[in-house]
Amino acid sequence: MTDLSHWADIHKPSTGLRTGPLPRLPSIAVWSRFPALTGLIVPAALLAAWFGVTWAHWVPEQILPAPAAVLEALDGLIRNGDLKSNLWISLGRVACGFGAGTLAGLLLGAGMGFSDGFARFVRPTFLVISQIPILAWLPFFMLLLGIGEALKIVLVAKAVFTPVTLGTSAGIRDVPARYLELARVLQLSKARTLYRVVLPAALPQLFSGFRYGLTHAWLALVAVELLASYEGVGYLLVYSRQLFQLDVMVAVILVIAITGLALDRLLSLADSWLGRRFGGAP
Amino acid sequence: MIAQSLRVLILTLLSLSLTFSWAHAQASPSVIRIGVAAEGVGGRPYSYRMSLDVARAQGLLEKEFARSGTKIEWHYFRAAGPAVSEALASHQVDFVFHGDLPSIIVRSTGIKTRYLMPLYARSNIYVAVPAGSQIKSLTDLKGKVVSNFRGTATQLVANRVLSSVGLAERDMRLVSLDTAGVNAALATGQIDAAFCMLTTFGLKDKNLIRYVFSSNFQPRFSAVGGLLVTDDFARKYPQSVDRFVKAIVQGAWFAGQPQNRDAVFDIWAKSGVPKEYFEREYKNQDLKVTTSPLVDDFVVAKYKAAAADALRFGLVRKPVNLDGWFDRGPLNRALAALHLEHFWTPTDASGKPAA
Repeated sequence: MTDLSHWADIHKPSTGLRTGPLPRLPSIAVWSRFPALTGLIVPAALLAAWFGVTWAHWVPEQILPAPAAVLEALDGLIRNGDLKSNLWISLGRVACGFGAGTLAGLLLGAGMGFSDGFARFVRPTFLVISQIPILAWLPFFMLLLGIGEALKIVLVAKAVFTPVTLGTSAGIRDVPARYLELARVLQLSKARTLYRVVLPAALPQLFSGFRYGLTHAWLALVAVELLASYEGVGYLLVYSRQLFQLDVMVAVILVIAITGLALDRLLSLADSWLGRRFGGAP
Repeated sequence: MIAQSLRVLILTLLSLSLTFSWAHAQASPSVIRIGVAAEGVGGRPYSYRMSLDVARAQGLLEKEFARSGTKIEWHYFRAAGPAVSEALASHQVDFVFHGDLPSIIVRSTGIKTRYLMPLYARSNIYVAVPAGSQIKSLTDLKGKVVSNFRGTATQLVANRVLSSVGLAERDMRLVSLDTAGVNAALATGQIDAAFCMLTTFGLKDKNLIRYVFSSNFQPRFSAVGGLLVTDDFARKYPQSVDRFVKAIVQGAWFAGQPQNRDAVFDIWAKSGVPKEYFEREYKNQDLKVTTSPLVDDFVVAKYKAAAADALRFGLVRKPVNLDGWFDRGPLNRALAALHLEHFWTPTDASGKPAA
């Protein structure tokens, strides 16, 4: 669940996470003018394939419902209020879990980033805990916390905790030593150094941690809701499966995907806004 | 001259044998895949309360199909009805045992099946609460966390039970848990109540739970479960369907004879559910009635009620038409072949012996 390969850099502290903007496709006029469209090519092709396959009845409707049926199911979910109520519940859980996980991750990550001694002390334990997937924690936490809200929030928080901790500690440790030297020379207070030097320099990696955290939070939540829940989008998914309403099921999968994408875009916008505000350099 | 007639003879024989082997291939498939919407304790590939279980334990299908070299594959699905429906949709199974609600749901999706015979025709349901609970009756379930096995026949029964006291699913927080999950959740008090079956007797004996409701096999709350065959299979291998039904009817016949009662409980106990639980559960029940294979007025009325109730409770979204679904041919032929036409007494729509 928690893919630590993204965080290999923790062991080689000099490299940052950010690799800069992705290389663009060879400059075909249209794509370079509307870069947003490039990302739509694959989804459009998949949608067309979906239309084609169901229209030609290559896959029976009992296995893959037609796009029109899914759209109708989505409309039904919106009309009867099921989508809104369940989505709000899921988002509420993500918000609580993300908040708790981020707070814990920031604290531990900052500790590990500022103090090598502390990092040596806790890192092995932290890495072991990170390696246990969410679903492996589930039976244990179910016994401990029951199947109520606490279970969902703790598991979401756990999913967020790992990437945020890693992002925070790496971000802080990678603040170039000369920036800190400069701060010392300018005799900035500790708080000012943190706010004007460390934070802006660590921000990109912090936000990478947040973004991974949020993605993992959403994935973990849906997984938990699939197993033990009476509300939420994961519940909607299982419910529709159990009643063999495949059109509703596919509609819910789409909603889950779009919500996840929206959450990620939201954080990315916050990232660039904060980046501009702090100017990136002291 | 002789050589020529010999050649003709050989050619004739060859073509005849080819024809025969082709006809043979058509008469019986190389494998019959059975999907059972149930599972024993801890995943044991055995179920209980059905005539099918007797046929399985006695190898009646395997014996019936041994001479045509047909292999019988048994698949037990932990996720019960919903999983069996998926197996039907993806052509993974030929015959299935399905409860009434999943059968109705399958029919609503347009998957083509034929209904052959009931495998159990009476069921019992309990509402259990942790021993220390304040819940005294069904009406106290309002607003509570209640578990039920969604998408299975139990969901429909639970809806009927709730609606008998003016409640509905939306009045409580329903968690879907399977049979094993219910026991764990009840024992640890993670849920306020559960719709459950005899598999919770162990918790009751340890005084961990109380029952606030039992349907006592009342026909109006009862579920029925039956044997379905895919339309594809039935069209390709009609004789195999007849032989299959005959083997299960033999199982029902065994189960229906009073002197076999103990043996039937032994068979059901292969599922891992203690034999003693069956003795308690079926204390006042005649197994001849609970495992009757007759597609009588009661069974038909039960499925019609299931279709109507599924729609009423919002479990299917459009009316489900059952016309042409019940195929009594194989059953009637089996009853005639086994001279069992008068062994079982048909029951009327309310579940009483028909006059």
